[in-house]
Amino acid sequence: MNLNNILSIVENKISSLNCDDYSFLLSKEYEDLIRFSNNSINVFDSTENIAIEIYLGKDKKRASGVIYNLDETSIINYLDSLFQYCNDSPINNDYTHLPSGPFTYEINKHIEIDQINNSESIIDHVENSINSALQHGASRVCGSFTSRMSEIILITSAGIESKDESITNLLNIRAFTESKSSGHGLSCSSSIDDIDSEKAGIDAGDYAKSSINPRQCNPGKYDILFTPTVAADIFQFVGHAASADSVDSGDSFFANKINLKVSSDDLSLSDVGNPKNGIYQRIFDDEGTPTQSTKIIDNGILTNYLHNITTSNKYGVKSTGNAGIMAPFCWNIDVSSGNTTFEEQLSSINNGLLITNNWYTRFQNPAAGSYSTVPRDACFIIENGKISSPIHGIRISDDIPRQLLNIDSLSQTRKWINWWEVETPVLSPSIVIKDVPVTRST
Amino acid sequence: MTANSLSKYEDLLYSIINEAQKYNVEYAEARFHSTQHLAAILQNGESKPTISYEKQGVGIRMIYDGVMVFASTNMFDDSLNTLIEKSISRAKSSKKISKAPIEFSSEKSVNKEWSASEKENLKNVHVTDMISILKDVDGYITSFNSDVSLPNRTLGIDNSIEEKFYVNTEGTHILSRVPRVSFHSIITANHNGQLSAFSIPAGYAGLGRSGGWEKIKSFDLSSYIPEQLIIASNSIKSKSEKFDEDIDIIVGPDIAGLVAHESCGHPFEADRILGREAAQAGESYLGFDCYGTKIGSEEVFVSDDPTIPESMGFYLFDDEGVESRKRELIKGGVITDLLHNRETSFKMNIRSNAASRSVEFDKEPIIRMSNTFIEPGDYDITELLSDIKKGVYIKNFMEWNIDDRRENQRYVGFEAYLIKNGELDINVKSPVLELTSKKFWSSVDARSKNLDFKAANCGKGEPMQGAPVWTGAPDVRLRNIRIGTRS
Repeated sequence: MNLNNILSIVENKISSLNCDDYSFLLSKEYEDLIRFSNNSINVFDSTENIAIEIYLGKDKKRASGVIYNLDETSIINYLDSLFQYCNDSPINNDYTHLPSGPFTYEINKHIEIDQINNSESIIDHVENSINSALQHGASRVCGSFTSRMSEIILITSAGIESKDESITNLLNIRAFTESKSSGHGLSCSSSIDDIDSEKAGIDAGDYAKSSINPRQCNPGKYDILFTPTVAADIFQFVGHAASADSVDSGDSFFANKINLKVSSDDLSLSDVGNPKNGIYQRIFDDEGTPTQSTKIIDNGILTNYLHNITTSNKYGVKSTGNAGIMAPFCWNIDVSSGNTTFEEQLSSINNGLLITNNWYTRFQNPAAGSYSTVPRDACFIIENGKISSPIHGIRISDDIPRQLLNIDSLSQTRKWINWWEVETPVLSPSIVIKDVPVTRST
Repeated sequence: MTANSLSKYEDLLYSIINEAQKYNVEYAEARFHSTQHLAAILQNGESKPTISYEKQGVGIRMIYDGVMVFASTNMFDDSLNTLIEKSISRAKSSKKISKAPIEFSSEKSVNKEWSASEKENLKNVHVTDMISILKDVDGYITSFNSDVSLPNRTLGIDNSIEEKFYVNTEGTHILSRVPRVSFHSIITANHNGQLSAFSIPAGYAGLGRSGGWEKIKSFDLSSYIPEQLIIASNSIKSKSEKFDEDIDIIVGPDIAGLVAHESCGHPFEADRILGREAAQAGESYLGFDCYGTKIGSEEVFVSDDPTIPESMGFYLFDDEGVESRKRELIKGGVITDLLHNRETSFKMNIRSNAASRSVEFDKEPIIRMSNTFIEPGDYDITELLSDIKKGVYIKNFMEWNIDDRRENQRYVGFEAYLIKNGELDINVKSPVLELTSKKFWSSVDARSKNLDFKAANCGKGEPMQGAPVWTGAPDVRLRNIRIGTRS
């Protein structure tokens, strides 16, 4: 399909509508995905899509949407309908014109578009990860490998016309022993050559083997060492709470806390649009504002919310390049490293737990950040600074604001985390949090 | 019946099947799948951009030399045949990591067109109609007079139309259309400076039905929202209670329905039992030989039924072309059925019971629940309450989760009441029900007559597929349960 033809159909039609503001973002995406279980492939998915996201604003009324039907008649009919929806929408008193620039975008040098038809490498990585896990104690291995390449073109009524591209490779692996203990490993990178499938398999296999015969753990408060995989889950909700839209909707625990202490002094946390060696890169947001690095927490102080042009105007600040037309959101979360090693973190805990993976995080009260989550795969008691017995069947029930204030240490080393449970890419250290409430079922 | 807009794609679908057959595939299917949404959102009285989402394309699934491949695209030019060729090539390359060939159960071929009942075509609904309803709801909230203030609210109506055109190499040819209407809300309350975010309905659920715009009236928002605001206000102002001993409890339809979904529906998915979802949504506490196993008391009856008219999970044929039917999963505490697709039913040497669904064209069909519920009993609520001396009635919840084998679960009550001497007493704040599935099912001793459903979006698969479902139950009484308190 000729992208230029599609662009010119959209541009000609949209110009005829005499909108005050418009944008359209054309994306072309290729994705290969292998799902495997019981040491065997389940399915090889291949997706090739073109989609157009469109925003229209006129007389302070707005509509936006996505169309996948790319023949000329369908595009024109869709735009006529969208324009009608826009006219039928109420006036929005926060209406703001799209940013006009001129902007200078950082040229994206971090990736090489060489991913198409890379299926042999994907298959090799899957085979390698399965074999590594099996060699390290697993009896059955499951997981997925996703390789996604996207090209986007953004054109706006404010004169923005720019392109970007991104590559994401995600290997997620889970290993089981005969006794049903399990371990998790992952590797994420923009370059398929940097995927360490062997290490991911070893991690999963070792964790599964070392967590055989788990015992019950008494409910109570524990100092907990969270690996980057678990810490990333907490930090993605920190990023969500920093969106000005979350604050406006009332489900943010950061409401009215700008310039206040929200975490331990050791923690700094930023949203980064185009991180070096990151696993997702964007040089501009969906409104054309250049992405940037925005400090959300600076040595314990909440410094910024994340904004698109509408929320930035409402709050009287500049856009942070986090549009979303509907709402600002995180691109990638970069959590500061600390000055301790993982081993030093372990040795700092007399009576605590090591949690290596979790899932099913749900909030009782998002405005207070009160939530619970279920540790899964390998979990261990830490006694006198050393890992002792594996445990199972526990649940963490806490408040994120309390946890942030009780971070005791962050590790020097960090890891990119992005998998089924952690949807926003997070560069995370392992962290120790003091006095975390732990419960279990009766 | 509203005409299906996808019939024009028949030639395209058969050209795909013909192309796949050139490679001597064991099986191929092509599904043209369109999902359209028109959504209106009001946040704190201001309208968000109206959303019009029109996703459509074709999903192709083939079995070649025992290896399953899935390909999807919305580009219907020469690249389509190239994509099929590439998928076959990937099947060949993947053979080295295939330990067991994939085969399907034998099912009869069908030629059908079906749709959900739709009186007022959703295509004819104006955004102004949707906004008008949301503004009315916003008015109920802003005029709510209480010592609990409600400073933030996000309200949404979503009208969707899902159409599919499915054909396969076995001669099956099915056109379908399911329109759906749903309402959601998130509201923040301020009581003495303490902020609480909650949803109506509670538990981040929704009000939803399949059908046309006439369904919006069935939500009765003008009565339901003010009533729920009073309930939420009382819940937020309530105080927690500590229970030192096991007590008798009643869980309302919202919680019991979610238990049916989480502790029966998911672990009864045969693909989870076989380990196919182990890296993501997890496995099951059941083995494949679980048929006939006693899992709960004689009062436990759980079903999954895609044929319920007006339900969110309504369908008459699944995405493998198999005719749907009610699945009775637990009868009298004994496991009587699982949820199967053609792959898992082949492994059990049985016929599929039509649980295979995909939510969009670029997602593979996998085993999904439809409308999972605990069957109603014979009691009314006063009879359930009557012999409880001290207990708790937990009507709904906000926080919940369950481990990935579906054994250890937790529900934190939102609307909840103490029970004293057979009658409801004061509200109690955030009682915690944290117990195993076995404990829950074995503790059920009575069910009320009133079966109630809520709309939910069930997550599973990779890439994640959020499937529209109903969860449902009557009030369910459980004996001797430990209730905790959220610290």
